Amino acid sequence: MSAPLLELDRLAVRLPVHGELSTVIHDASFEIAAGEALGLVGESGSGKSMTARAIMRLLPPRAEISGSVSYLGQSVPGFSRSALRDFRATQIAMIYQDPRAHINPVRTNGDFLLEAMLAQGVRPAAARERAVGLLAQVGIADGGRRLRQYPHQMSGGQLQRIMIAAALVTSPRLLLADEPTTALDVTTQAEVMAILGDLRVERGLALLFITHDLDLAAAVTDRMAVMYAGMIVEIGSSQTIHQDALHPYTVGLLRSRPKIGSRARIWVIPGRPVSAFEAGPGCVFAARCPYATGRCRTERPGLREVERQLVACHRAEELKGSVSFSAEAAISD
Amino acid sequence: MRSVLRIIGTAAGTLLAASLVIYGALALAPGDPATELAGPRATPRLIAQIRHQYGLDRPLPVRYWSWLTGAVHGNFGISLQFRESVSALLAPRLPVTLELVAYASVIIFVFGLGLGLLPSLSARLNVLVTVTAGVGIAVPTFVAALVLVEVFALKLGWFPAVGTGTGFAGQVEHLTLPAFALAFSWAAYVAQISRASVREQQGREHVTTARGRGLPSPLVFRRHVLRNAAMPIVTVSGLTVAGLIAGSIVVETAFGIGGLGSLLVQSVSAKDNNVVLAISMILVVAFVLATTLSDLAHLALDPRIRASARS
Amino acid sequence: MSLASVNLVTVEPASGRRRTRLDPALAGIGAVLVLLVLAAVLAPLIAPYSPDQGNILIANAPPSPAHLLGTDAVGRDIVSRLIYGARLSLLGPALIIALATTAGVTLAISAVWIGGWYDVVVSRVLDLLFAIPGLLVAIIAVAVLGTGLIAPVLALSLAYTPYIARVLRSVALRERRLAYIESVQLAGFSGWAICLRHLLPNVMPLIRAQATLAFGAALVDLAAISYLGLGVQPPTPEWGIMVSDGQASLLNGYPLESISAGFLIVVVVVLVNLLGDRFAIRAEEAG
Repeated sequence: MSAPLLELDRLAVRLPVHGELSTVIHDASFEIAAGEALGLVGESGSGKSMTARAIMRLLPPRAEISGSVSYLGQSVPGFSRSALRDFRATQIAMIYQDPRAHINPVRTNGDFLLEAMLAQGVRPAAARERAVGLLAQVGIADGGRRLRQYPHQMSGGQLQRIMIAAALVTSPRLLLADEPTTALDVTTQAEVMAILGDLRVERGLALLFITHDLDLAAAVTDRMAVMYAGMIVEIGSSQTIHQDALHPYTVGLLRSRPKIGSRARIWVIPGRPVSAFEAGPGCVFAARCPYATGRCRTERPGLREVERQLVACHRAEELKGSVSFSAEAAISD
Repeated sequence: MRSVLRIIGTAAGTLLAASLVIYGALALAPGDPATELAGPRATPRLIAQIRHQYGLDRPLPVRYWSWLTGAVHGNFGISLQFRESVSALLAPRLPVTLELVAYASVIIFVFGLGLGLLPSLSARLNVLVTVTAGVGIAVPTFVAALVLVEVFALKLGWFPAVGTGTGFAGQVEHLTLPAFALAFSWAAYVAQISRASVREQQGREHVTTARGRGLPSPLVFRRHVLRNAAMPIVTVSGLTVAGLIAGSIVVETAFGIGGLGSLLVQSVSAKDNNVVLAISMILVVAFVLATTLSDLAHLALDPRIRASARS
Repeated sequence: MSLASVNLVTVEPASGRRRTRLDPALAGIGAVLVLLVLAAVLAPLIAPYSPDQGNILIANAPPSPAHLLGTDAVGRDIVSRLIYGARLSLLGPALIIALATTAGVTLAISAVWIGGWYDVVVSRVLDLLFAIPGLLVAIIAVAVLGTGLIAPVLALSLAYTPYIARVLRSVALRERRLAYIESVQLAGFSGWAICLRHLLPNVMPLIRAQATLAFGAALVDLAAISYLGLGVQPPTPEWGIMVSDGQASLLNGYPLESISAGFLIVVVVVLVNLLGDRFAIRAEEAG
């Protein structure tokens, strides 16, 4: 594999909450090669979005980060103001879960699509032509008219397409997609995912796809990382993880949702998802793991290679294939 | 377009209703204008004659209608106190009040908005601006007036304490302290609102998007923060101008300025109801005009309202 | 595609103990305001001198141990007049807010409950009232009813009714649409019982916030009326009158009467506004 496009090494993030710094990410390490799609999977509050924001340097004021984020070997936190602006303007783009909130409601779609190009000195006519072309590619035919309309005149699915087109106008090499289809209805979700997938392959874009939906991530990404309480607990090829997950949390997550055509019982992971700052000194999942031992509660496992993936679990080998959760486990908790 | 007509229609309705209520209330007030006009040694015959002459013996709705048609043409009747046409009485005073309010509006725009936008330059100023604005809002116009007189007229001697002055420079000099007194709490209010709405917009998701696209900060601030924050600020500005018109009553009295406000207070004390009525209506018109203009401005600024009004 | 987290059992958050902890700033503001009210009520016990009787020989006396803020133009003790003045200065706005809140709550909730043309008429009237500044309404009322406390208090109650009613109406409208009201209705309770027992408690935090914020504005308006000479008349001790009375002294170089009365007004309004802001934040959190 060639040198990675993006590399995170032991990234940790602390945010000010009620005046105190709380950890939201303990340890996030992964890399994305050029053109590769990586899924970042976890429940809400696990730190997925904060990871994306740390990569973009869009964290709230007074946030503290440690570890490294490097893009093509350069440290993103070390960027000067102008280098950061260039990085955001030309190398990376992000699409968000809620396009309605993430697009300025009082400016036209045209303003939104064109402003990044105009700020880079593209001539208005050329910028408009390019925007209309991109709108056609994301499935919006009457682009010229849409440019004059306002976001509230579009449906959620149309707006997300506009968001995707706007992310692509400056031809970035890496796209961060933060739950891009969660706010959409099911049929629209599929369409938007298909558009995203096609454009990505066509343009050789690298993608960080953030989702809570393990099946969806497995379908659209090459590799995926599972995040829990601010820790990446398992990472490997999407197919392997989908079929032979090693970490008890990943296994629980996979089996805690109903499957079409299967009458198998849904498993229940006991307890509630904890935030990163609530985790004890040991494994972040220890409090909910039926297989946790004394060691799990005192010593935090790091990612290590087991079989074909990386997993952060002391007992990965011995538990392989035997992890199960039951509703009874939830009651005894 | 329909929503523009609706806003204007509402304003006209408000004015009509307000004129009816104010006219009715003053007409029902105890005391007889004819007796007052006739003087202390009038015979009942003279009083009856005056009553007939001024149409006071006609029924209330008829009187209201003839007053309204007169008022639309600028005829507000006769002042009991000055035995002079109300219009002639108001004519020289109206510009004084307008100048005062205009001057105060400029001060509010410069200081209120300026103060409110300071924290967006440096977050450290946030507390300072919050406290200044919070205290400023609580200072009544007449207290601000006296403090300004004490400090800038009596202690420092920079400005005259009372009067109107002659010539443009003289007027500006004499109106400076009154205008600042009038502007004081409203400038603080505008500062508070603009600080809060800029701050709110800065935390909005669409601003994160804009920053994440690598747009230069001044551009993000102008196009996405200020543009959106302008809507609540414009709404408040309408209220502010309207509030200034009411506040001018107090300031003119405090500084002895011969404008509409001080004449209103004087006329209430003298039970000169034609003048009270005329000035009250002029103030209400100005008030409704200010709020209507801010409604229209809001309509122009927010495409979402335009759309919801259309459907 | 269901949310994975939906199927994970969720237990009540462990840190659920941060409700209704006493806010020290709130307690401090409350304590100062209570002290002020106590001083007003107990004025005869606290005030060192009579508020009305002055000694012309010591007119405009500077501050001294005997007269902490000096005396006014006719030799009355300023501190005593401030303490006695608190009575009318605080009672007036309290009356206004009590009347405006009662009227506003009644109008808003009945408008939401009855709806239809009644709601339209009430909303129009409230808009009309809102369009005219309180001070002007009060001045017109004085022109009709004469000077004193009653005319401005009634007029300002009217003027502040929309401040309570308009906000309340929109919130009550939302609350009414919520399912719980319907379920209570189905259970067979009468309209008014539902309003009083269910709707009102839910909008209470908002009423409290609006009423508190309106108190400060009403205090300023009422003091302005007194200052203009259209409210209660001298020699009654009242802060607005004291600012006005002291104006001549101020121009003659004795600013203490005006400035101290003005200062008290500002302090009370700042404290009340802070209190109102806190209430508003709480109402927002509750709603």
